[in-house]
Amino acid sequence: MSHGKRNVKPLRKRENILPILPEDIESQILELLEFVQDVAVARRVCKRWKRLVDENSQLWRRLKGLTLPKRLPSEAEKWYRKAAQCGNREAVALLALLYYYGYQSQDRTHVLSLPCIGNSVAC
Amino acid sequence: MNNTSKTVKLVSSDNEIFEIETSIISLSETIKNVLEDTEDTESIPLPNVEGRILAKVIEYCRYHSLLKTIPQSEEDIERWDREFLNIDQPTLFHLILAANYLDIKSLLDLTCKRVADMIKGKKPEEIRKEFNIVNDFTPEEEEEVRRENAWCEDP
Repeated sequence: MSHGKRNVKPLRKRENILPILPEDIESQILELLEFVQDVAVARRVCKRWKRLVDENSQLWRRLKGLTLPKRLPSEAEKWYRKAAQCGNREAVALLALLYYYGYQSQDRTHVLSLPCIGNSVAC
Repeated sequence: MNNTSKTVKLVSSDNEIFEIETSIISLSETIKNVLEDTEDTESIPLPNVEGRILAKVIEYCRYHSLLKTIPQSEEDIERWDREFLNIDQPTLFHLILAANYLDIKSLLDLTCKRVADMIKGKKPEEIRKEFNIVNDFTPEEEEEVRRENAWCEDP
């Protein structure tokens, strides 16, 4: 059918350009990465992705594959603590392990107020 | 009147017209709501969806609503979905936007999952290249993120 529509040409041209996804969808996609290594990589892609990862509490709650750190336990502790605050029970256990193995936090005040150990039983 | 074969015309942004059974396209919450609100709707303009994308959406709705009457094995459905998403990246992204706009949750989940799978296991530079993303970190910021991540990344 030829209607002689003047917008046909630009539409064709646009086909190969990646459309911009709304932030909530990008955030939903990043949430589906699930594993800590992939999430870590996503934080390095660009500022927006880093922010979307850091702001997504659901992502931190579901974060999988957390392990004891190979190095830099102080940075690992920040990740565990953030995930724990979002209700990630694996992270709570790892925080406990980290201290059990003798890691000394630089900021003990946070440790004393470990969140969600009691109230996340239902999940 | 036979209600089961009631149809509606969908008009894409490039004026392609698709006539489709309402029972099939009701997988879209957006369209379902329009049909419920106005009983005698004959056609619905969809100015945000191109014809070639709408055709894909309809293909998806047709198969997935068929499953209600003719159930298939999980394996077969997965295979169908995988083949359905064997499309170029711009089409995939347009499909995400359409699924979001038309509020088809299962299609949105499926397409988002596909993009997540494309990200997994890649390096930052590979991801930027794949998705046309500009690295807007300053060298200092980049170093900081790297340091924050280093505990779980391979040296």
